[in-house]
Amino acid sequence: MQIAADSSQSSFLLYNPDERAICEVPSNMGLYKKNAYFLNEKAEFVTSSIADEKENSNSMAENYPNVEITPNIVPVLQESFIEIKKWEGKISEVDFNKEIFWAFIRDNKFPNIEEETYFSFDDIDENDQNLVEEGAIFYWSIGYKRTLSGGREKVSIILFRRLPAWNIEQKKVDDKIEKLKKLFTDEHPSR
Amino acid sequence: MNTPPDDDEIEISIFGTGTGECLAIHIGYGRWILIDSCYLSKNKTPLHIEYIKSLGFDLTSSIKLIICSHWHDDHTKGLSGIYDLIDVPIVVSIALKQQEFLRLAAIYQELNVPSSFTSGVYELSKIFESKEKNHSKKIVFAINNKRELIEITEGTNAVIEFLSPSDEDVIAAVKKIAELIPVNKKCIKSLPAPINNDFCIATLINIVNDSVLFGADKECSNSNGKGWQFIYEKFKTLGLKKSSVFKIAHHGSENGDHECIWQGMLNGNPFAILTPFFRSKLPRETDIERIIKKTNNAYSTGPKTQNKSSFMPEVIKVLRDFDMDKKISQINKDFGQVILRKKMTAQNWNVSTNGTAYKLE
Repeated sequence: MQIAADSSQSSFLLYNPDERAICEVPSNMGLYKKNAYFLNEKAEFVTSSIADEKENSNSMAENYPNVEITPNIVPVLQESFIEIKKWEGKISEVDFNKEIFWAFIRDNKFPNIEEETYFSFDDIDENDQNLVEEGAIFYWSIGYKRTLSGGREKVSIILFRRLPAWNIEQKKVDDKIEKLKKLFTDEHPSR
Repeated sequence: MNTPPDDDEIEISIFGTGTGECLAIHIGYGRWILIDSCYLSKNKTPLHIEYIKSLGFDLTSSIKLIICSHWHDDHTKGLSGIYDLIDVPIVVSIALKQQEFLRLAAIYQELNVPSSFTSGVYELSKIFESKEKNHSKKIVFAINNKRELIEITEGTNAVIEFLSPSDEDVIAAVKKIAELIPVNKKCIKSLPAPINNDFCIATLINIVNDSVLFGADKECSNSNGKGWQFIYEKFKTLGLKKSSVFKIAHHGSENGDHECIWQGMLNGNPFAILTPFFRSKLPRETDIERIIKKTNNAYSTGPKTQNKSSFMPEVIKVLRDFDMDKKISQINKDFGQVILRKKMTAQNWNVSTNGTAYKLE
């Protein structure tokens, strides 16, 4: 996905990889409050601005189901982020009492190395804590943030993947179940 | 031990990585049964498959049955690939034939959640897909009191007794599976597996004069209609033969253990082998102490400790600031193997270990 305008303009145009504009987003939609990432499977990071409020994100997701919107936690507008390592993670277990979660993580540049770690709930943005559940997918980046004053700060960012709301035709699922049932009709253990 | 077992030799090979386990059982005359699957990250070939190949066996003709004890990631990695590759029946829990699981599988097949991570349900969905493509492939749905026979030689069979799940196990499992069915219009995610092991298949394999008990991740229950208490009652009712080898249940956890197993289902001083599971810190010291009081022949596949990940200094510098530098472990890097062999008519097993495996003392 591409973004057409810079943040000084009054709106942004978002484009699909085939360069067809799919939506126009007013720049006052949460701009300068917090940032948002727009992701799809082909381009995982494009812009550093636009909405942060969840309701805006949800409405975007409903209107444009192929757009994935993940509110960002760290980089502030016009500050740069130098990433030195990034993992994709999948939560494998959550301990709500201890407020920690375990996750498999993988640096996709090194697919032959699998790693496992755990995070405290404190490591993630408060607004994202409701997304902590088994099976949730997230991205974890570490690096440096160059601030507006020219300083450099170490940064660890966890972004939960907010896939769009899904809406599968019930009939399609029912048909699939019938097909599987039929497939298993003759499958019985012998005695 | 890289020489193949003789035709009249039984072999039980147990593999563990610390986040996965699987078994290969030679029932004689070049015929193998596989239980579960796990692999190393570096090549993603299931460890038992790699081993059987290294012994010179042809996979297609030598593997006679695959048992998938349950759907957790640490038992299923690579399972669908084996089923795809070899025309061999696979045994799965009968809970997976219920409407609730089929719905779950159907939804996730349709959603096709993009992620580089595999999961137990993904592996099982792939198995269902293979069956859809090739109807002649066989899936056996196991429930207690059912058995499969695998011919060793003409007139001699290995008898595979499925000791669980019980009806009550299945009902409990189905209830939990139903809770995992995603609600329409909610955000999707990759599919988790419930932590408990209700529909796990515990198996007893009888080969000639001996039997081997595979505990999978079966745990105890407060109800006599579930867990090990149920299995023991069933074992007694069916008059099954006590075993000389036990694949310890649930990574040696206290909840996977019950006095009835050692008293009622195993011979004295049996070979007992466990695989560790690092995330849950299993086995604990107290688990090992408990197990070695039961038998002098207890082994672990290891590894003993997790491998810490190594990073570039620049990465460590940032991780340290966030107190994450020591929390990351590399998984599925090493494995251990405990091998038990004996002639079919012999009483005593010969034990050897490979890789990270060791005797519990």
